[in-house]
Amino acid sequence: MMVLSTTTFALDPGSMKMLKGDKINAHVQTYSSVQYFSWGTAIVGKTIPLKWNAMPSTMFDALDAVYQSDVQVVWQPKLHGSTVNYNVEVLNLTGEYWISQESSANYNRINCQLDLLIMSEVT
Amino acid sequence: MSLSLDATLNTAQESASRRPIVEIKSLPQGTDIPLAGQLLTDNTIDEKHPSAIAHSDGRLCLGFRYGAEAGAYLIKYYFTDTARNEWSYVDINIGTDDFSGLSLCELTNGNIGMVYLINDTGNTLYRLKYRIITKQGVAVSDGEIANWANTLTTGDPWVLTITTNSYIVVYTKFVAGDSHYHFYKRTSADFTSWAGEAEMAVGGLDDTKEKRNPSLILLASGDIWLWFDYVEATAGGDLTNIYYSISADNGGTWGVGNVVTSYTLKSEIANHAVSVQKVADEQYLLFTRKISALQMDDSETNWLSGDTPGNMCFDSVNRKLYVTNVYSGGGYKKFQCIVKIDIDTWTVDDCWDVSTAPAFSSDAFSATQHVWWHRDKGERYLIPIANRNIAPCRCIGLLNADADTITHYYFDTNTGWGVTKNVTWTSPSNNTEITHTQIDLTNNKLWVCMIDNHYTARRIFIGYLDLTEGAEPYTFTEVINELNTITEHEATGVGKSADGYFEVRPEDDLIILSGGFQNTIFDGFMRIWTLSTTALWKYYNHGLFSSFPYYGINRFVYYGGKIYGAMNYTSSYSQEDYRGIVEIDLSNDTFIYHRPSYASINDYDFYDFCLGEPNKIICAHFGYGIAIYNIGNDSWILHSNTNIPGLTSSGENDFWHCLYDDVNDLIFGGHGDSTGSAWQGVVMFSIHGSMRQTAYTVGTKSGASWNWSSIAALVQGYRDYEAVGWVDPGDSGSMYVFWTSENVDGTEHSIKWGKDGSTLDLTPYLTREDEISFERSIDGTPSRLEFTLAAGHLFDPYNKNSLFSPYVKKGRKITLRFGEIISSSEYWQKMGTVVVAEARLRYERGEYTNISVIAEDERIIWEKNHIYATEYYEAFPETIISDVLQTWAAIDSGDISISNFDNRVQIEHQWIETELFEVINQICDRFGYYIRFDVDHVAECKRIHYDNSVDHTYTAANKIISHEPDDRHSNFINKVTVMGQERSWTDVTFGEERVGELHGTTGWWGAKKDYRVYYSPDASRRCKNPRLNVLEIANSIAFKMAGSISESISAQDTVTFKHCTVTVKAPNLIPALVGGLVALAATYDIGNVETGRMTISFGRILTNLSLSFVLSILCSIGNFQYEIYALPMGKIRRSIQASADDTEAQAETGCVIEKKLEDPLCYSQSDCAVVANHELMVVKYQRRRIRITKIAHLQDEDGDTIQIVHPHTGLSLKIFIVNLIRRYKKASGANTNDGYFYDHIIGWVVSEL
Repeated sequence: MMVLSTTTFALDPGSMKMLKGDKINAHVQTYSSVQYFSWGTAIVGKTIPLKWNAMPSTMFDALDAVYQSDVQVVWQPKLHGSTVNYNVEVLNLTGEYWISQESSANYNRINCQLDLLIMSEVT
Repeated sequence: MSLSLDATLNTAQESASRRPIVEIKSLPQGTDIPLAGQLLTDNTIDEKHPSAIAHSDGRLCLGFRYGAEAGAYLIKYYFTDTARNEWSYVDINIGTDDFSGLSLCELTNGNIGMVYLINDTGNTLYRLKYRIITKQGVAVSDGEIANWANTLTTGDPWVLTITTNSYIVVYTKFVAGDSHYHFYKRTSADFTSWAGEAEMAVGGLDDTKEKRNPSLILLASGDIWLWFDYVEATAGGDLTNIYYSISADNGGTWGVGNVVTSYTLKSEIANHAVSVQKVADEQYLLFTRKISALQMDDSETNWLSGDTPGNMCFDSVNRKLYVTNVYSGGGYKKFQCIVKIDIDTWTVDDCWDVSTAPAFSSDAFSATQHVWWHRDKGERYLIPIANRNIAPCRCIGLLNADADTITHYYFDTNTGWGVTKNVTWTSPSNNTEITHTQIDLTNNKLWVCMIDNHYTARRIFIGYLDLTEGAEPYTFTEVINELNTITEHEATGVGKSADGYFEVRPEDDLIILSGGFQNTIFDGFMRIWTLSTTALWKYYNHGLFSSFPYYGINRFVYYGGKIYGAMNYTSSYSQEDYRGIVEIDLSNDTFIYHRPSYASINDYDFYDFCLGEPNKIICAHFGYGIAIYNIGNDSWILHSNTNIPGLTSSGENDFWHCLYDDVNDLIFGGHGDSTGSAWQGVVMFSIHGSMRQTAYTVGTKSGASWNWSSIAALVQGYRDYEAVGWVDPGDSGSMYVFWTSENVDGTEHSIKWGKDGSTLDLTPYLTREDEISFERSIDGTPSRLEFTLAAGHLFDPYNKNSLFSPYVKKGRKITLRFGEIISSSEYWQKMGTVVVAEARLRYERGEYTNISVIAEDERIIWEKNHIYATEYYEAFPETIISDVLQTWAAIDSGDISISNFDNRVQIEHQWIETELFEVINQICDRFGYYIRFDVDHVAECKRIHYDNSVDHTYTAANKIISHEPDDRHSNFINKVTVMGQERSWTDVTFGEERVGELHGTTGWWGAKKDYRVYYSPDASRRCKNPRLNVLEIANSIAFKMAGSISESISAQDTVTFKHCTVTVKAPNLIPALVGGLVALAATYDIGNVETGRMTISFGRILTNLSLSFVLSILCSIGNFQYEIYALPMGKIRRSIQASADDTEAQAETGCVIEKKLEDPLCYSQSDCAVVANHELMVVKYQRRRIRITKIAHLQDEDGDTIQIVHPHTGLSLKIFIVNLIRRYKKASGANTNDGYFYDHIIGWVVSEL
């Protein structure tokens, strides 16, 4: 399971953007040719949305506590056994009440999304 | 010459795939050390005694004493984030007792441990305390380690982490039992429970002598060094030096004490040592130099021979002290040298004498010429000195230390020296002596006072030389010219062997002159004139005012409508109670005497005065020191070797001169005469006590020993001390330094910090949303770099919590490099160096704060860099530009590389009251060049011309993005005319005018007399063809009978054309008078003639006739009055001009549209033609402007000529680049396609091939 700060996710996200660097580039048509500029790849500065169709309110509350603390935290994606971790800022946490399941202990938050901004790779 | 790139980088520029990179760095102007520092806070509560460490997680931790505030003392604990961007702080209340010796260390668990010493005055105890807080300042625990009687002298504690869970505290303490001073230590494994006190035996020291301020450092080698100051002597003030002892066993045992500093005088001592280790086997030892007074004499480097201060001048703007040294022993009072001292570094900047370059005249200021002292008052960087002999030696040498020029004003032609008089003033007497000079910089005047004390003609001349006159002859304008208004004694009292004084005060509209004597019987005086009217306002002497000092005023200072003067004591003339200084109230002519309280003597030999703080007068008291008289409460303070240990190296108090720096409250004293004093030189001291400055020395291990470099200032200023430092966790070559800084009067203390190695790479902070642009142009405007940084709040110059706040402050140096990544390697090309001109940011809630920076090259400073006067140049343009840049822009010669100009000719010119920018541009415009700084920041000049060789050829249009012929900024001028002036003079005559007059008296004695009539009162005017106009003439009957009076111009000066001779011829009636007298005498023997009818008084008739004849002759006396008219002569320089025509354009437009220019550097028609052709070329090519946007190529620069391919025709075009803006923007994302690296060029199509 992923870990954000000291919070271990009860559920990993249903989907998330690929964790890979983007190639920063541009090109322009010159009068008789084309010019390409590249600044290499970078993952720093990339926003990673983590999405859940539903999650328990306890998990949502734990994530919200991290969100509200407003400090930079370490995110351990632990994808496919990777040990690469990232310093991230929590940009946003959104979700909806599943009203009919409010009394239930499970899955009473739906359409949840946590946006993480990758600040740097933990060395 | 175009830029030459690295071959690999050059090849990459042609590639269709580029990987451009940029680097922008912020650097200090000059060197980091000495650190200027910046305040940590704006608090007005005392902040003192910092202690700092770097935490293992990267943050900086700083603690210092704060208080008392509301009766409480606090520890202010500051800490940064781990990236060391910003400070945060917490307050730790210690209580109402003051404390010292705060020392920090990092504990094994990452917390911060503190120790400090509280002075518990209520219980008369010192309490050694510990405190633990988290690294972010949250309290953990605190307690007392030990306490002892506060009557026992105790040195502040220092704590050190030795290794895991091992801490040591050291301090020094006086032990009453053996009356010894010992080092003690206490150790702990948890920082809360501490072992008992144990003495640290340090060998080689005298236990009866005090040790202070211990500090510890754990070196990379594992050795612990104990630093301390050791009081070597105490009599007459403490003499302390820095010592150290080494422990190789974690503080168990200690080696002998070794000394590092070697101060031997109590005037300068060392204390408070702290060491910083950047790399192994090297230490930076920071310590405080405590200076009671700084001294300097001619043993100082760059001070030439001779160190008897004769005159002193302080330039408060540039913070330079000028000392004119004059031998004051027996024989000639000869000039020695003028030395320029930088008071911040207390080093000699420069020195001038008769053998330097430039030099004072080796004749006028030789060892056999008198100059004397206290007579030449400079202002800022203008320092005059006068020869005090009479004709033909009267001259003044004027040093302009800023321009490094010396001008000589000769009042006499001296054939022995081979000099010709160059001052347009003729003294009526060769006995006139230049007694005093004074600079009035505000009004650009050099005031001169001259006195003739001849008993038959006592003269006072006061006037000035206009300093704006750039070339000979120099005009002396008389303001005061008095004959026999003072006595011979009084006149003598102004001369060189007496003690008079002179001051012109334009701000008070006064001219003040005094005559005075020491040890003579002559009486003195004071005369005061109103400057604007030259009317005499006051005349004081003992005869007119019995309370005026009999011997006059030797020196004086004017303050608040009063004169405060020094005088010689006399017990006669009812003045036996007049001692000290006299206060003369000019409003009511009253005289009050103020006698110093510190000495009971008759004669107070005050040799000099200056104004100090408001209401205070500083007095140089020979033999006693420097006294300060407080007008407000009529009290005296004396500064001497008694209260300032080591004020002078000889212990004497023979002060001749005093000056005051009212910004830093420093007094400069000139000490010693050439015979009676053992030491001559200058001293500087603070009126508030000792100066303290943090100094440093670098120790390097060589084998088993350590070598220490020479000591230098670590910080600027003399009130910045007790520094601590720590290596920057992010850069082992750099260290943070924190110190206590006090205000000038020592009443408020603040913490300052600085960083050695303050270069910061700004590249990581560049925003992707904004481009970086670098613009260069040939139009003389400075190169301009614009960029935007993220985290603007960190770079906010006013964010005191930010450690980044200095990095884009105005004036900070910025370097720019562009490059490419080629095969994973970085290749760079420098673009230039600029200084921050503008930095703007805006705080707005919800908006991210960026900071926009505009930086321009240093030509931006030249625009406001005013030049009063350059030297008179007769040199080639490159030489002049180089000299001007070195003199006025402080650019090293190594940073100037100007190739010989095409069409170079010698320029003869002097610039006066001009901006530096104008001078450079005028020269460059004359030859068709412009100045720029190249990529290495070397000043160079590039030629603006259409036929420059091609620097770079593009063979295809594959780099062209846009191509736009654009002649918007052109006009229709098709003819340029340039006007100049020849250098040679042409004689001309002007219309006839009255140039002189002649008055006189003639009579019966007759004779012929020649009168020389000059065409102007100062005998300088040149005229031709004089003629006489008779206004009045004596013409009696006798003269008519004898042939009348005749007058004529009998001779003309045909060599200098300055005078003519008028001959007045009157008939000689003396023979007729003798005949008449004989006849008259003879008539007395002629009696009456009796005719019978009457008696005729024949004899009486003859007597009367004879008498009438005689009287008629005797009455033949009368005035004559003539006017002389002539044609004044002059010299003018002929104007010359030349034109250049664009005949093609003239034909097209059908008319001539002319532009006229004046160029003062054109001396011939061919010169004008060169400039006209160049200007016409510029006009023509402005009509052939083109704008191109192309892919950036790092080789291309302004002033280059490139060849490109026309995008439509495919033909080649040759372009001269007049403006180039290089724009760089990194794309903001993977698919945004908003990145670029372009050159925007404005150029001239200089040929179509």
